[in-house]
Amino acid sequence: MKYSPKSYAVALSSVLEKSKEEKHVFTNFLKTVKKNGDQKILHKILDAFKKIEIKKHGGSHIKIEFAREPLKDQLKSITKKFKSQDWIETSLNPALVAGVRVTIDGEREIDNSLARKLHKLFK
Amino acid sequence: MQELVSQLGLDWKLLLSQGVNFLILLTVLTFLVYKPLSRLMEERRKKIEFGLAGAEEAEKRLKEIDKVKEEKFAQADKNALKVIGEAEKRGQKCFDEILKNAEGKADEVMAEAARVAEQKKQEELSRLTEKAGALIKEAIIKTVELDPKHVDEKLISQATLIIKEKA
Repeated sequence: MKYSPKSYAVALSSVLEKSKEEKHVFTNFLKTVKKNGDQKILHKILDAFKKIEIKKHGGSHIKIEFAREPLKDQLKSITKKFKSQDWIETSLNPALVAGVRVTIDGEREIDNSLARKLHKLFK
Repeated sequence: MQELVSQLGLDWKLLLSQGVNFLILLTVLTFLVYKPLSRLMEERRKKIEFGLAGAEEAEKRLKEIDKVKEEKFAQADKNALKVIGEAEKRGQKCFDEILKNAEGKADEVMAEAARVAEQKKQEELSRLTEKAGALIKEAIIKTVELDPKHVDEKLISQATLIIKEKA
């Protein structure tokens, strides 16, 4: 690994800020990553880039985990609580048993799952 | 006088010569027998006197030794009694200390045993509680899994409210 994922992401973000040809920038960026032999960390670079872009636009990275597939109105009611600049990701996590767990920027957590409640009850 | 001498049949010459013989014999016997014998007798007497005096001295010494011996025995008895008394006191003191230590140790052992028993009891209780908790948890999960919609709905709406409050 020649550079850290964060360094790649910062460089990409600053280049995109100055250039209008996004496609060209992305192509050249991917070529550079390949040249450096860092294709393996591409997903990490993209994660870091995503974080930088979300922050740049004043949003947050919201990760919502459901115990099972949520109903449409449930998903709507929960997602409309966040700003339009926020990046919302949903996933399924059967370990929650029931309920939902929301993580904001990987730091704050709102865990309203049955697994958490049971854990608190029997710890 | 001469008449009487002649009547008695005495001869002056013979008498004189016999007197001289007697004196010679007396002188010879005095020097050769009497004086050595006297000297020997004197020496013997002195030896006997010395022996007697020595015996008296020895007897006196023996008496003194007996007296000293008796005093020493009395002192030794006294010392022995004192030593025995002290030894008894020390022995009693040691015995008391050992008894006290033993009682202390017995109390400690009892306390330790009680503590271990209590700890085991608590561990057992904790294990049972944990097991019971796991069983209840499993039962709740299985019950929820039979019809999760209502629980999900409730929890998601609660989460929505929490997010609204925190936003």
